[in-house]
Amino acid sequence: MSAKQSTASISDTNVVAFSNQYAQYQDFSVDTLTCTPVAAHYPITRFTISVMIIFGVTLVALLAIYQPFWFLPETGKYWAVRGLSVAMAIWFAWTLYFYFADKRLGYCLREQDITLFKGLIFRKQITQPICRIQHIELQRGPVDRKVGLAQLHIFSAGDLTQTFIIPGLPEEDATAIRNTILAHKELQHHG
Amino acid sequence: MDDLTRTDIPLSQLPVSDELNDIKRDEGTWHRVSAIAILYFVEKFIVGLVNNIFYMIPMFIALWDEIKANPWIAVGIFAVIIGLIATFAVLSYVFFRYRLAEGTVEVKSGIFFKKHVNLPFNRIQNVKLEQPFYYRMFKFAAMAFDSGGSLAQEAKLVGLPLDFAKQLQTEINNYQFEPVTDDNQTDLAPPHVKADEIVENTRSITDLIFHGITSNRIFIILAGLSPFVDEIITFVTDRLSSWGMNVGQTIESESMIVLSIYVVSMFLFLLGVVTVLSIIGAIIMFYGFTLSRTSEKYIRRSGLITKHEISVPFSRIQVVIMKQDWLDIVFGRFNLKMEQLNGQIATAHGSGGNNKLMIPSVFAYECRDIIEHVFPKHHLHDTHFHAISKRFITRYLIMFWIPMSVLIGILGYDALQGKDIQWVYPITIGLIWSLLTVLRWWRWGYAYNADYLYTRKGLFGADRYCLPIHKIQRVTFSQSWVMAKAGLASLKIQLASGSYSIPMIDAQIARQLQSYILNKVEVEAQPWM
Repeated sequence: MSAKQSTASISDTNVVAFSNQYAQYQDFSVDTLTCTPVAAHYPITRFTISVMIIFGVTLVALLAIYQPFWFLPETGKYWAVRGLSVAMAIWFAWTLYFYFADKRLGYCLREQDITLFKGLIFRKQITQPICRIQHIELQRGPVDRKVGLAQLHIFSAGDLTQTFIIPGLPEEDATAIRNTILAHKELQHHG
Repeated sequence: MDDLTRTDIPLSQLPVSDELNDIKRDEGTWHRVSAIAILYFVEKFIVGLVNNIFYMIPMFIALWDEIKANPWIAVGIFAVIIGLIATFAVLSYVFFRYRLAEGTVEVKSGIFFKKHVNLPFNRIQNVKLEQPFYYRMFKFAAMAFDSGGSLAQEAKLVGLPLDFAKQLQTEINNYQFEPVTDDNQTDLAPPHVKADEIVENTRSITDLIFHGITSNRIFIILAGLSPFVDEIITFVTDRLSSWGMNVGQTIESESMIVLSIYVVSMFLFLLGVVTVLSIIGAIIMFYGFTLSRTSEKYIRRSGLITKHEISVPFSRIQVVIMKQDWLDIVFGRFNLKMEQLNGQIATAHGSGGNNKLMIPSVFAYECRDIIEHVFPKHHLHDTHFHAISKRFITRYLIMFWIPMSVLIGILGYDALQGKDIQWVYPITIGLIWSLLTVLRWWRWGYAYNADYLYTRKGLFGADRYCLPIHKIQRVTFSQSWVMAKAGLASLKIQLASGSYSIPMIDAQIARQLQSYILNKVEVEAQPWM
């Protein structure tokens, strides 16, 4: 929602006036950041997919253990099943954690920067000044396309491992944020 | 786009001899490098072979009996290996082509896997000249380009005449700075590297000895010696036995005290050997170290066997680190490091050690002067650091005792069963961990002024980091609910060279710092490179 508002505020006419506002833009305090949550159906989508994968893996593993084609010793089966259930339980707990963490996932786009809110126990606010963005990518996997979501990948210099990713954005919001940032980048280059 | 046309002028005006002009400079056509590059490829393959020697040992073990019966097999194997190296070196040379056109350098290489690298001059982070000893005799050089960007874009021009390489280096460096200087007249002036260079710092052998003692540079020697390890061990054992030491016998016959004296003296002896080797390594790497500067960059030259030269523009430096190991603290010296773009990129290419600008074993006042040119008005050398919260200790102790309590539970169960229990292990490990945690907390510090953020961290040693606020790429503020209750937060600062964290500081200060950083970065919008 707020992403659309941002694009509206930085429409073509405003981009020109923007350089005047630029110097007056005083309020950089991070206390004013407001968290816009990502799409409401993102956490449950991710949770469903993960649970389906867990079921699939369990099924394949069980079939591999209890097939008639080759011989497995009884103790081997015993431990394989126990190992499998522990691994799957951990995986499920992990998935559950991310379900609740994703519910608190959000972002905040301001005139000069974009902030990502994430984490459940450890809350993180990652702020990326727009003038430092190198490039920006919109990614949509098959599942994302099905449910109308998109991921926004934002790259700054020198980050090989820690990319700034906002997952689970409604498609039009993602595009709007991207366009806003691109418009801003152009402003930086020509101005 | 006018950048491209502009460089054409200095290109043709460079004081190149006609011969060089004809052979190398001819734009747009593909060139071979000098045939001396074959030596370079030979070296590369031998180094590759030596690095993989462990994989070849099983082959020799398997063939050992055969070789004993018929030594000619060994000769044959070596002949084949040498033949292969020679063939590959010659082929690599034959397939190696380069082309200079419109402000880009293109390199084609590879025998089976063809590689075509296209590198525009303005994308080149860093130009490095390498002169192995066989190049030095004939005045040749290898040029390594560091694009700093993606991993695939790396190029090396092997076997260029030294004069030509230097001209090309100057040209590329000038290219980078063209957009900065608006005055066209200065661009046209023929570049002379030497003329405007000022020697900022040199390192004497004494300094290098200190560096060898404090930092472990032994790996340089080990890398060179690895093919001869066996011979060395045999040699040392022979020497020891000729001095009348037979290890096996001694252990059985002597008393505990004499034995422990042996052990201690042996340890000291080994320590001495390691230190001497480390000193030799430091001298090999840093012999004749000079750090020169022009108005916009530092140039480092050093090396005993292979001479390295790298130049780093001030604007590219993202962070400056004054590193101090515990022995450095004893001697009051620092290793000064200036880092450019992410170190991981450099290490992925195996050029990590040389990509960074490192000045070994300098004093604090020298650090002050050297850093001053890069980060004016910094206070890295004499700033007062604020401590982080003591909760840091609590957190790491809790993190430790959670798994530890399981062990103690098991031991307690054993005790209930009436078994002998070894309480000494958890107690010792616990004490060491607590001590290390306290040390870590004690070393950790942060400070800031209007332009720079300083952090200090370490365990036995202490490294000071100077982070220029206007080059910061991203800020992360993180807080767990426990930390929130205690009014604490952690900050992570990301620069193009990597990320740096300040854990467990007052949340209010962290918020203000974050706001201040964003304000400075976004309002001033200074270039970070």
